[in-house]
Amino acid sequence: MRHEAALRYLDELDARQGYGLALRLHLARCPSCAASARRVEAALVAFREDTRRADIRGAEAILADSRVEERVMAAVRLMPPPRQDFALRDWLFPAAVIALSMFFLPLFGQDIGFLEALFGSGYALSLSLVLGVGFTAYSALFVATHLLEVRSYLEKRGLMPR
Amino acid sequence: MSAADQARGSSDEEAIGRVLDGDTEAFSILVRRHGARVTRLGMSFFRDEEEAADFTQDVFVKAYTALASFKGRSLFSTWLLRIAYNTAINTKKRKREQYSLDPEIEIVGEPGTDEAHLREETARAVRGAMAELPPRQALCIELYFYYDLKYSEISEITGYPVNTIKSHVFRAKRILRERLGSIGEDRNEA
Ligand SMILES: [Zn+2]
Repeated sequence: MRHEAALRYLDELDARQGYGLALRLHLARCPSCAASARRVEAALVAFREDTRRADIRGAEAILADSRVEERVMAAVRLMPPPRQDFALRDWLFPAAVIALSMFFLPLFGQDIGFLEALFGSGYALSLSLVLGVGFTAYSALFVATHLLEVRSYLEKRGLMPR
Repeated sequence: MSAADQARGSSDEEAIGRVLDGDTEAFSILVRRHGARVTRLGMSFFRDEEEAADFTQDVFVKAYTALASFKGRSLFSTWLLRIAYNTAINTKKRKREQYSLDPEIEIVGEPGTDEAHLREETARAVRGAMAELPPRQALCIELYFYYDLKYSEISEITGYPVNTIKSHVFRAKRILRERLGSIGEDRNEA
């Protein structure tokens, strides 16, 4: 590994990522790159510890002064418990059942003829219409209970209304 | 067992599980454990203690509501920071305020020592790199250098592609390396 490649590797390094073998071999033989790596590493550690110590102390004082924990807990006690989510497939399965019945039920629709005999056709609604309303209501319920997911989906595709 | 004992003992996942099982009080464990990070991010955005406190409350209430959607695919802290980031951006938008980051990263510690010198140079390099970027991208640098977050985690929080974040961080580190390099050379010559 050459100096340039070694320094590039160091600057591309992810947080909490170790040095690869090739880099370690180079650093073992190259005092100048090794010194540079050490200096930047030490600088970052000192910077992090330092700003963090000052900031966390500041943040904790703000939290205590403003009684944030008490306020949060008072608010969440009044709220309904977070809903245990159904997995997406638990939602998709009934949706598929409803959608499929919209296609297939009319084929076996003779069974409800007795209702017509009983009440007359004045009350009859198209079965597809009933199932269509059911499907729409189900979709609306799904969107309403997945607002965050729908929102992030729309935002990712730039479809979010302003 | 008191809440404080539990706070020490249990993991985030355990606390979340208890909240989802109906033990609302277990949520205070998460507030206590992660409150300072959220407030700190609030201070970067709003630079006002009262606003940062209101912001923290807002973020945790949102997190509570959405808690069931936390699936453990990332760390809870990353998930929480994403809520915090979006809340901050939206609050700024609502108030039609321009978002700008804290230009002065405070330097503490003993002045005049080698350590202090390193810190100052680092803060200056980070600040310089951040100043060159639009504020929302500058936050990526802050999340890397200050929060020690991985590119993938920063991408998850901010929505920027990993490669964009990587190139900003790369530039900041280059600047830092060059500055620190010249210090080393000065010393070698002396
Ligand atoms: Zn070298």
